[in-house]
Order: sequence, then structure tokens, then C-alpha cells
Amino acid sequence: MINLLKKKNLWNTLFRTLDLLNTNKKRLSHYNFGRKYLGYVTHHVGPTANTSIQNNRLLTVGECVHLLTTSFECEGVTEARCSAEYIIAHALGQKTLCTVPRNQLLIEPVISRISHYAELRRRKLPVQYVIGEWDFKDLTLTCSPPVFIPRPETEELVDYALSDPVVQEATCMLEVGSGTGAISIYLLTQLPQLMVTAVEISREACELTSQNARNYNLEDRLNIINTTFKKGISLNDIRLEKKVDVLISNPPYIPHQVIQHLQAEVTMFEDHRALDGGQDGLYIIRNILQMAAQLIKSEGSLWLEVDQSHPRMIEHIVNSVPSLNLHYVKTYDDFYSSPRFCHLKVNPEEKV
Amino acid sequence: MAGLFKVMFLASQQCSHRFVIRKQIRLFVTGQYSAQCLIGKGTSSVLYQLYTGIHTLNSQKRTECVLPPHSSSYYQYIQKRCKHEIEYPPLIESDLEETFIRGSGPGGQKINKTSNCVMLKHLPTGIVVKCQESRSLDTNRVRARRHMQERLDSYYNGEESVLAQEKQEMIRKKIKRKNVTNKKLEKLKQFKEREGLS
Ligand SMILES: C[S@@+](CC[C@H](N)C(=O)[O-])C[C@H]1O[C@@H](n2cnc3c(N)ncnc32)[C@H](O)[C@@H]1O
Repeated sequence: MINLLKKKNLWNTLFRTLDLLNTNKKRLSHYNFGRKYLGYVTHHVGPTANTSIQNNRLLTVGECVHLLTTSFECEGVTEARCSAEYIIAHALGQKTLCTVPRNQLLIEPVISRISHYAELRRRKLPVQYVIGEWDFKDLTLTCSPPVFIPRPETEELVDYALSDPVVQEATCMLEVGSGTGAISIYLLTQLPQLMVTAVEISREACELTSQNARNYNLEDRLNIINTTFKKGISLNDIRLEKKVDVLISNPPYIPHQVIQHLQAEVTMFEDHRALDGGQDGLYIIRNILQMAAQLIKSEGSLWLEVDQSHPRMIEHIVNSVPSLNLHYVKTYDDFYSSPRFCHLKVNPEEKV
Repeated sequence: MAGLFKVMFLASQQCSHRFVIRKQIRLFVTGQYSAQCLIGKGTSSVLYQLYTGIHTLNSQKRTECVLPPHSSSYYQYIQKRCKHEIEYPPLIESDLEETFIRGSGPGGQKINKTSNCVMLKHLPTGIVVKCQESRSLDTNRVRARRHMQERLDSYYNGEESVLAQEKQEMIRKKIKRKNVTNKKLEKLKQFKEREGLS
């Protein structure tokens, strides 16, 4: 084993850099160190690396985290340390480094996996796409570009929705825009009597939702329909026989002009159809409000995750357009205390 | 002052109810101390039978203190604890200060961050816990609260805390196992000697 590792010129080289850093701390700034490290990685990988290096100490997890973090920082990769830790953990077959001793030695093929992931991350690919999966509550979902990566706020949306008696007793639910399938799959695991229909515009997202549902053996209770949710959509279009108990959605809600100013990870790699909510971010939301009473049965619930500026606007729309046949129940805040989740209900049927 | 009484005393820092220890009796069988407590004022007061661990109580006969605003959950806790029902002290959300390492700023779809570390501070005691065991922020928030309960339990209950008790139980089992193995080895040795095998 040790012999095999001795052959790993790359890591020996990195080691020497590390030693150099330790001995010449004053002379070698972090920045230079990172530059040097990067140089080694980009120019000395493979057979061209210098084999005459005598240093055969192995790299530990802790040292590797340090090296990778420094290199990411120099390249302007955001969340340098976190990214390094998740990448190394994943290469070791773990989710986080919490259970990995810092002095554990790294061996092949873990090392080449780390270099590969690091290279992807340097190109600003989000960590979730680099490692191909991410956690949503207690689920682990496959993630692949360009399908929208579930955000932690949505974990709260499903919790609030689950506190609603209508949801708890629901047998039939509609999700607009399922992405990786996070919302639908989580609710299906929590509510054994539930059937879900997911409407999704993107073919890649449909495939991912279906793959994730299969991983949790839920494909029998989840219908995925690859179509565009728009005004005038009928129950028939989405193969439903009757109105649903609940409609839940985390629709695209970012105003169109804002998207280009977001972080590179979002603008460059995530599907803009998952983000772009039109002029004021309310485009899809308006469509959902318009269609809600045609799709949800009376006294059924509508749960939405929206931009923090939207809840007041949505409440205003619902109150000023009685023909929508909806009433606004409550706004819930996210963990940053921003108003984020809207609960609405379809009005009860009028007694004749 | 140990165990349960410490819970009461800590609680007394913010006043609203009175709490009087009436009687202290040593339970010789278990080596525990028991005490009767009067919580509340006048006719609305409730009598609680409390047990402590093997710690000795101060010799003072009457100890007075007051309970905090959330005292009803403390009462329930104390009651249940006496019946050995509940494991951890209650956690009151308004006592907690939660910070996210990911920083503030716009959230939701606009941001994709992976740092999901959660830091919790229990304001009355100043205890701080951190959790980044999971890649899910929500799971870390839940687990941080659990860790906080464990820490508060050791803080309030010392040797009587669930963790300490579990540890003691483990040690006891280990010793027992060791004894059993030793006995087996001893028997094997005797057997070999008898048969002239060794
Ligand atoms: C913000 S993502 C939410 C994904 C997932 N539900 C989640 O919370 O992680 C929005 C999703 O809606 C889909 N979408 C956007 N416009 C749509 C439309 N008109 N009809 C159906 N799906 C749409 C996008 O493809 C994207 O997957």
C-alpha cells in the first residue's frame, strides 16, 4: 500500500509545498502558496510530475482540506472550506467529514476522485452538481445540471404544509414544477395515503424526479407529467379525474432582470426556467392563482414558496379579485425571518 | 445543591412563582434523597415529591426560590422526571439564539449555498452548541436542539443526566461481561489442568 502511495507524485509534490509553507511561513504568503499549489495541480499532474521527490509522507484528510481550501480561496471559489470538505467527504464515501478522523491518510482512488471534483468546482460548478447528490430533510436526492437544486427554505415549506390538517388528510395532491422531486417525494414518504401528480416543464427535471422517486420506491404514487402549466390547463390535461385536495409549488419567482446578477453557480448552471418569474417574479404565481379554484376542490389548500416581496402582493391580488374564489390564510417566515411561504384556501361552496 | 433542585434554582432566576422545599427524606434502599416541594402560592400551590441522586442535600430545612415564566413546562418536566418518564429537560425556543454560518442576505432561489452549520446559544445558561453533521440545514437545526438538550441535562442534572446514566450503565455491563469471560477462562483453565492438557 505504502509503495503504491509513494508513486503518487502529485501528492508528494503537494506535500513538499505544505512543508515549505510550514518552514517558510513568513516568506511564503497564503496567496503565493495557493498559486504554487495550483501550478502544481494544473501543470504537474500525470507522468510529467517530478518523480525524484524524496518526501514520501502521505497526505491526511486535515492537510488535504487545508490545501484545497487555500487553492479554492485563491481561485475565488465561494465557500472554499465547505466545498473542500464536502468534496473530500464524498470521495471517501461519506456525507460530511464529521465522522472522518482528520489524521486519516488518503489513498488511491480517493485522491484522483478529489482532484477530479476539485477541477469541476474550480469552474464554479455548484458542489451539489459536482458530487451529484444533496440532502433534503432526511432524503438524499440525485442532482444533475441543469435541474434546480433544492434550497433549505423549501425544507421549511414542507414542514408548514404538513402542519395543515388539509394536507395531513389529503389523498390527492398536485405539484407545479417538481425539479428534483424534493417536495413531492418528501410528502409521499410522510403521508402513506397520498397520491401526487407533478407537472414539470423540463424534461431533465421529469427524469430526475422519476429517478429519485424510484430510489425511494414511490413511483407508484407519483405521476409525472411533462407539460407546461399555463392558464386554461384542465384536469384532463394533467390526467386527473377530480379536483385535488392540495396544490403545492415552489414556482420560479425571481424577477427576470435580477437573474443575471446572481452568483455564478446559479446563473451559469441552473435552468433559468426554474428561476425566471418574469417582470415582477409573479408570472407563474399569477397563473397558479388563476387556475387554483379550477384544480383544487373547495376548502382545499394552496401552498406556495415565493420571494419575500410577494406575500403582500399575493394577499392584495386575492382580496381584490373575488373571481379567483380564494382566500388568503397566512404568511409564514423562513429561518431568516423573511416572509416566504403563503397559505391560501379555496372558498367553501356557496349553499343555494 | 444537586440534581433536580438545581433545575428549580436555575429556574428561580426569573421570578414569578414561589418554590419551597418542605421535607427531605433519605431513601435508604436506593440511597436517594427525596424531598417534597411546594410550587406556587397559597391555595393554588402544588405539592411535588422530588428525588435526587446519591448527592447529599444541604442541611438547611427550608429553601425558597421562584420559578421562571415558562414554569409550567418545568413543572411537567419535574413531575415526569420523578416518574422517570421524560429524558431531557424542555427546550424553550425563546431562550435560544440561532445563528447560521452561511450568513445573511437574500435567500430562497437567488442563492445556492452549501454551508449548513447551525449554532445555538441557550441564553439563560450561555451554553453554545454547533451542528454540521448533515448536509441538510433543517436536519442540523433539529440535531443542534437535541445536542442542546443533552448539554442542559448534564448541566442541570449532573450524574443523574441521561448521558451520564447511560455511560454508567455501559461501564456496569462491561464489567459484568468481563467477569463472565474471566469466569469462563477460569473454568477452561481448571478443566485443562484436570485433564492434564496444559
Ligand atoms: C424553483 S424550481 C422548484 C423545484 C422543486 N420543486 C424544489 O422545490 O426544489 C421550479 C420548477 O418549476 C419548473 N417550471 C417552471 N415553469 C413551469 C411551468 N410553466 N410549468 C411546469 N413547470 C414549470 C422548472 O422547470 C423547475 O423545475
